[in-house]
Amino acid sequence: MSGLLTTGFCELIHTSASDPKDVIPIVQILNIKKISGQGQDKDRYRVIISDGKYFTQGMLATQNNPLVESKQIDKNTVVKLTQFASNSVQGRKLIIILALEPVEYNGDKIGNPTNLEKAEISSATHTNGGAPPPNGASGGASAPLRAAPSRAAQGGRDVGPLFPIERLSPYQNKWTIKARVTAKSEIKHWSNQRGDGKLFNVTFMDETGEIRATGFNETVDTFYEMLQEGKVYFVSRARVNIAKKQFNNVNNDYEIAFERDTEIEACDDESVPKMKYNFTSIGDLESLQKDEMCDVIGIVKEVHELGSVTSKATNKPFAKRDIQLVDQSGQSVRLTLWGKQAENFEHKDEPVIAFKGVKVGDFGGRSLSMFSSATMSLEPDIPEAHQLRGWFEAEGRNKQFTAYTNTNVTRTENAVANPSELKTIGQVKDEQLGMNDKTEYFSTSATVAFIKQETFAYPACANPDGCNKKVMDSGSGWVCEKCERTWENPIWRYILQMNIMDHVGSIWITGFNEVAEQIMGIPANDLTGLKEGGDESKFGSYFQKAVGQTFTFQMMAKQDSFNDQPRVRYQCRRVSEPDFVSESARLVQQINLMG
Amino acid sequence: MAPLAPEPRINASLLAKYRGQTVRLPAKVVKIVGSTATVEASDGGQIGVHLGRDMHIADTYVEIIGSVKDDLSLKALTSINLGDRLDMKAVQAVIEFSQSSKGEGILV
Repeated sequence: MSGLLTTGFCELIHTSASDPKDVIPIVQILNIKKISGQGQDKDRYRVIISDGKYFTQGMLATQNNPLVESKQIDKNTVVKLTQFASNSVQGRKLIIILALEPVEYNGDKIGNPTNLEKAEISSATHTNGGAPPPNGASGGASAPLRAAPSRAAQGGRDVGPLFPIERLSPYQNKWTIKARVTAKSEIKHWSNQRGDGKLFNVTFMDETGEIRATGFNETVDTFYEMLQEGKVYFVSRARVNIAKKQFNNVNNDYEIAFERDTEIEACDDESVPKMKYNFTSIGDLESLQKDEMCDVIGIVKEVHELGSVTSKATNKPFAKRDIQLVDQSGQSVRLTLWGKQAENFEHKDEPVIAFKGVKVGDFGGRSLSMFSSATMSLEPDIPEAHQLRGWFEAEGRNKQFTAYTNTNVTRTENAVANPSELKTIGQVKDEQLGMNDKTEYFSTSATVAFIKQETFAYPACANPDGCNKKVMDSGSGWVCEKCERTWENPIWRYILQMNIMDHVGSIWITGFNEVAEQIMGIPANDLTGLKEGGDESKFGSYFQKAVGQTFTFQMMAKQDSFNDQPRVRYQCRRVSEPDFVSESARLVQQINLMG
Repeated sequence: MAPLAPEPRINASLLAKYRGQTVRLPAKVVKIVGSTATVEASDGGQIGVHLGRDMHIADTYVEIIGSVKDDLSLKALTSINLGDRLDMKAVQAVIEFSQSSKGEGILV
């Protein structure tokens, strides 16, 4: 068992002030790690050597590299250290192996050695090793190890020197970072064929960069409560892996995984910077590609209702909410919040919010979505926020913003095609909007080509409460069935049938009173009066004037059955002056996308 | 839109390219001092414009047709008033497209 190895060697090395002479110990290599040389330097191998009782770190002098490369020295190999030296590095002893010979052995790890350094700290007395420690027991000899535990500015105990996040790599696992938690996710549960688990993520940041850390299963219990957003911690003894970009969009090639041995300690040092942002103005969002990440800051102009979406993957509903953000560029954009953030979002008082790590989408031109690692910071104390607030109070409040969609963004039900997204009439026909049983909404920019002069209005109930039902002429008055009243004169309301046309095609639409009045420029009642009064030319002139106007029409397409034939009917819900600014912006976008 | 104009539409950064030539410059009037106007082009650059005596700059946005002098100021030949609202971003896009291969032959 341990007969083969020189038990007590590790302790001897650690406790001696100088290298023990005449000791040719036999130890087992538990692990070998290659440390790639930088530039001209050769690769070096770091080894863990065990004497059966304890294990400790060592470095192989490069002349021995061939032995490792030819696999003569490998994991679990037993070796005789024919020449070695020990160095004190940052309070720890590191054995430099200058020459070694492999010893015949075919087996696994001998004994159950524990980390000598850990043992040194926790136990006050040594167990005796081979040769008695020269300077007496724990007191003096473990001084180099003991000194380190004091929380000196250089960070950790013997858990590694203080590293900047930028220098973390999988090649070194003795490090400590001092960083602030800039984001902490919720605990997520999963279950798949391999079993169940839970995990959570945090993002750490220091002056040199940021890195994401994940804790699985037990580490969730250990660390989830302890880590608070915005506070600074020392982290050490965790594993550095290559980042899984699929889940991790933090700007670092690596990520950290918490392990059982990971140590995290709170730190009071506030000098670690808080959030670093790299804002894109809302007007410049169109220059970003879809699915890119960005940071934005803006004033929340509108908060929409909480909606719910059922995930196709998990079949579970989760909450979503849209908010409209505006900034000095004059542009507004829709940002979608999900889950808890959507539910808890309360701030209807036009606050400044900074978002980090939101994903750019192209829904309705440009839209933003909170990715799982995105963060939201309310009224942050940064200069951009103050500038925004100042601008908003001065002019932004009353400004008319151009949305990436249409200025009149109305959120209607069942919006499959975004109601505000402009479609050409060709697209309307191609996409067969309204031909399914669903009611579909869209907008189009078109010109009035023709208006039907017959049946342009109907007599409606004059009830001031707004009944609007068609009334029947009974000869002695107009009867409303719903109100059960008779009126002397009805109020005529438009039911205008128009043909609108753009550069691709034309469709017949129906416009009701409000819309038609805008187009005709005269209330239906007056127009009917003209017709009945016999003033044909004046009557006709209104129609002529109306034709040729260009508007942005907000439309509803629905299927109706017309003499047993299904027909799509297009109804106009709203009409507005075409917004040249946003339409030009849209065209610019489309041209840019052109090859 | 407007028929193809023989003069290219430019902004401040394109002035050097058309030194000595006649160009169109859509711009926002910043100030007028005597017969010299300072205007801001669609890319934000400011340009000095020498106006003739009979030129009336009435609106905030104008299009100046003129020749580019050696000192990169513009000697105005005529001007067109464009009202008090103009989407300079769209103007800038037009100018950029006309300079790039995308606009060749379509936009001047």
